[in-house]
Formats: sequence, structure tokens, C-alpha cells
Amino acid sequence: MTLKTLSKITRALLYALMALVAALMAALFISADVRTFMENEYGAAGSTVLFYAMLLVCGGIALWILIELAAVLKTVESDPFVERNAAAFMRMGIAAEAAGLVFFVKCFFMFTIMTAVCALVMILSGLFALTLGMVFRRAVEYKRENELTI
Amino acid sequence: MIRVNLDIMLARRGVSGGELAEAIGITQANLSILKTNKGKAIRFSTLDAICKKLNCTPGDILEYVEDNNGAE
Repeated sequence: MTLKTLSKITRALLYALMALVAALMAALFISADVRTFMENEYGAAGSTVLFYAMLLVCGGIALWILIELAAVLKTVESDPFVERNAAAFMRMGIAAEAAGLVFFVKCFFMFTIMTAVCALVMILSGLFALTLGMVFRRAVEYKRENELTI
Repeated sequence: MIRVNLDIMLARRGVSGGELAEAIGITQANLSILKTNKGKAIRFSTLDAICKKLNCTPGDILEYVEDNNGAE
């Protein structure tokens, strides 16, 4: 499988995921079934507004991360080691840490095992993205130096 | 800092930039980076090819000059 094909398949999956996240966010308001499920089965009945706000914030963050990832993947075929990609990974890292923090705070108000797992996964993903951002930044520096080595 | 005196050597030997670039296998754009002191480093293989073509030594091309602002 070539890099081009791999990048295209991954991007297609990312776009599908973006559509899914957007649809789920919309379903919170449109679908009565989802509302009932959240209230009865997921413990949101006590503070629906807070719960919905948390889901929307995390959904927005997830969409943003997916858009940034798709933009990074677009450059893979040509030249991925550019300053923009390094900055994108740093932004994704910060966004994931923010989502992790939201889930972490939620643990104190509406604890579920999945919330704790999500908090851990988001915090770890954020740290991973921040590390990747720094690695990319160094790669950009190396590339620039290599380009100026005649 | 290290100053590249390639222009002077080219003029002395009567060789054009394009001719040198072709002879040593680099692009004119890269030769221009070298000539204008914008390069970060020079490969031994490039230096070797330049010296061979211009019949000179690295010291004829590269020169150490004191930095005015003291920056490295």
C-alpha cells in the first residue's frame, strides 16, 4: 500500500468520524430517544444543562482535533515537516488536555467508569500529541538545516 | 563567521556560476545560497568537487572573519 493510498483511507475515515461526531452532537438536541437515554441511563437527569454543555464542549474539541489531523494528513504526501504541522500537533495536544480536564472534572460530579477512562485516554493522547509536536518542531529544524547544507 | 569567497575564485578562474554548478552537480539555486553566505554547512564532497573544478584549496574559498556583533 502506498503512502498516498494510506493517507487517503485515513482521511476518509477521519471525515466519517467528523460526520459521526457532528451527528451525535446534533442528536443531543434533535432526538428525544437520546435525551431520554442520557437522562435515565447515563445519570444526566440531575444536571442536564451541565452534562449537555460538557458533551458539546468535548464534541467541539473532538471535531477540532479531527480537522487538524485531516489537515496534517493532507501534507503527508508532499512535505509533512513544516512548521504548520508542528503547531497543529501542539494545538491538538492542548485541545486534548482540555477535553481530558473536562472529563476529569466530570468524574467528581457524575462518575462513571467510562468518564474516568475517557479522561485518562484524553490526557494521554494530549501528552502524546504535545510530544509529537515537539518532535515535529525538531524535524523541521533538521530539515531546514539540511536544505541549507550544500 | 566563515565567509565564502566563491565569487572571487570564479572570477579568477574565469568560470561562470552555471558552469561550476553543472560541473559539481548542484543546482544554481544552491550555488547562489553558497555564494551569498546563506548556507548552514558545506559537504566535503561539494568542497572537493569545487576545489577540483577551480583547481584551488578550501582555504581559497573559505575564510574566517571576526564577527562584528560577536554572535556565533
